Amino acid sequence: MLRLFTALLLCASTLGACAAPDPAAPATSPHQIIIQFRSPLDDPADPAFVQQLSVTAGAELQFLHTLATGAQLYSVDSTLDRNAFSSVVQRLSLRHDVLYAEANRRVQPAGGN
Amino acid sequence: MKLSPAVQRRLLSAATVLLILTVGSVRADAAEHVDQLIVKLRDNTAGQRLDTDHRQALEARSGWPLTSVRVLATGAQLLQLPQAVTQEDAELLAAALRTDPNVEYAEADRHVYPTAGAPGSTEPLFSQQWYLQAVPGGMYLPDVWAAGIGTGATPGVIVAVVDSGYRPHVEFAARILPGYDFISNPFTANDGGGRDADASDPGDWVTQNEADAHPNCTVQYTSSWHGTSLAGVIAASGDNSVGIAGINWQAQILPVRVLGKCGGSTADIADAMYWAAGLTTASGARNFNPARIINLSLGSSGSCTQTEQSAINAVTAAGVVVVVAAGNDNHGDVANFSPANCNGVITVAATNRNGTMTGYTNLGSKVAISAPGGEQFNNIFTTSNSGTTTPATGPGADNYQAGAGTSFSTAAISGVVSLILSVRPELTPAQVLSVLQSSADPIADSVCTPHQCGAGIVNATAAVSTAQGFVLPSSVGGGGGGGGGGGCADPLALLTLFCSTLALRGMPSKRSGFGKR
Repeated sequence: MLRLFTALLLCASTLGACAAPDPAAPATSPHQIIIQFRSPLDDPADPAFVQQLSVTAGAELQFLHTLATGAQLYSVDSTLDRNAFSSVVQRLSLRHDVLYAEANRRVQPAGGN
Repeated sequence: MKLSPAVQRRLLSAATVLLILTVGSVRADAAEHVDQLIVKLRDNTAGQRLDTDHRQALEARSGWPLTSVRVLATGAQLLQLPQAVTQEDAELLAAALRTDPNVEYAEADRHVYPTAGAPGSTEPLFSQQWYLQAVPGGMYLPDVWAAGIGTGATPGVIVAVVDSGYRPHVEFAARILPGYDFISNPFTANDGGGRDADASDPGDWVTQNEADAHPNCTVQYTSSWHGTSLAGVIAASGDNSVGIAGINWQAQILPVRVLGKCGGSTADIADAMYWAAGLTTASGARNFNPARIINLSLGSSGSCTQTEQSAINAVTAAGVVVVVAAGNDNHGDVANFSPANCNGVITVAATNRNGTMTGYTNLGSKVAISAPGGEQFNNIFTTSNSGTTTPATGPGADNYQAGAGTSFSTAAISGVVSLILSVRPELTPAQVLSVLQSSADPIADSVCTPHQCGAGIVNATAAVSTAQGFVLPSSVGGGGGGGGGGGCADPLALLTLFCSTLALRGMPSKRSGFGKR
C-alpha cells in the first residue's frame, strides 16, 4: 500500500518521470495493455473493477479478454500518444495487485517476398 | 505380329521348351520383358555376324527362332527373339544356350532405365534451391532424404506455422491440419471478423489509404502469403515432380493465424502458442493435433515481454521446440528484438549462398544458430499464391516466389528440427538445441567475431546423424544437464559406419554422415 501511495505521489508530482518513454518501446502501439494480476480475478470485466483500474491508469480502460497465460487484455483510449500510453502502462504496473503490465506490442513478419 | 505357320509351329515347340524350362512359371503379364539375347561364341573371334550353322545350333538349344541383329563392340552377337518374353524366361533361354560348348556366355539383353535421380532432383525448380544442396552455404539435405528420412508417405512431425495463415498449395495441401485464426482485430484479420477456426489466409495487402489511416502501417503493399511461403520451405513435397522440395516431405503443417494487415499482436501470438501446443486457452478453443515445433518468423523491437516469456515457458515445458527469427535490422543486436531475445527459444540468424552472414540479419549472443535466409540474387525460392490482394484460386493460383529474411532461416531450422524429431521424438527442446549446435558448420565470416552468429550454419545431414547417436542423460549413468553432446552410441544408428570412422580418426561426431559429402 505504501508502495502504491508513493508511486501515485511521484506520478502526481512529477508526471514526467512516470511518463518517461521506454527506450525499447515500439514506435507504435495497438493501445492495448496486458495485465497479469497476482491472483486470479473473479470477473476481470466487472465494471466497478475496470473503473478502479481506469482511475489508476489515468485513462479509460475496457476489458477485452483473458489470455491463455492467465493475463487480462484491456484496451485504452486510442488517442493517447506514445508517452501518455507508456505512462498508463507504468501506473498500472505499480498497483499492488499487478504482477506485470505491458503493452500489447505490434509484431511484424521477419522478412518476406 | 503376324507369324507364318512354320514359325508358329516353331514357337509352339519353343513354348513347350519354355514351359519345361520354367516349370510352368511363364508369366505373360510380367512387368519386365526382353526380346533380344546377347551371345558370345568362343570361335567367333573375328566378330563376324552369326552364320547359319551357328544360328541353327543355337535355335536347337533354345527351341526358338533367332535372328541375328548385329555384332556388338564386345564381339558378342545380338540375337532377336520372335516375341518378347519375361526377363526371367529370357534368362532361362540364355541358360539353355550356355549349354552349348561353343558359347562363352549368353544373357538376356535387359531393358535398362535411367537411374532414379538424387532425392528431390525430380522437382523442376530444385536446381534453384541452393539452400537445400550439399554445398557450402547449403543445408546438406539430399543425403538425409537418400537415407529415407523425411521422405515417406506417412504423415510426420507437426510443425505449427504461427503466421499469416495458409493457402492450400499443392505442395503441402494434403498435410495441412485444422488450424485456427487468433487475430482479434477485424481490420488486421481482414476476413470479416475476429477469432475463428478458419486459418486460411485471406490476404494481408494494405492500400495507401489504409497505410495513411493506421499507425501500425507505414506503406502500401501487396499480399505476402508469408505463412504459405514458410510452409513450403518446411514441408513442400519433394517427390511430386512439381515445383520445389521442402525440407521434410512428411511434416504436417498446423496453420495458426496471428499476422494480417499491418502485422499482429503479442497477446494473439501468446494465445496461439498455447493452442498450437495443445494447451488450454481461455476461450476454450482446443487443438487436438499438438505441434512439436512452433515456428515464429516474426517479432518486434524491444525486450522480451513477460507475456511472450510466459507462453514460451508453458509450451517448452510441454516439449515444444520454439524456433524464432533473429530479425532483419542490418546486424542489429538481437537482444533488442523479441521474442528472439526470450529465453528457451532457438533464435535463428540468416546466411547467404556463400555461407556467410547476410547484411540484413540481426546478430548477437542470443543467436543460437544460423541458416540460409537468402540475399540479393540468391533468395529462397518457395511456395506462394499468385493473388496480389485476395488469394487466387483455381488453376494458376499456386505459384513460387523468391524472398529473403530471417523468416526463411527460421522455417529452415523448423524443418531440420522436424527431421531430428522424426528420428528421435523423445528429445527435449534443450536436447534438440544441443543437437543443432553441436552439428553446425563453422561460419567463416569476420562479422561473427565482434558480433556473434550462434554455433554456426545448420547442416541437416550432420544434425540428423548427431540426433541418431544422441545419448540421453539417463542412459549414460545419470549424467546431468539438459542435453549434452551427442555421439555414436546407438548401434542401430544409420550412421554407425560413419561414427566408427570418426572414432578411428579421433574426431567428434559432429560432422555429416550418410557416407558422403
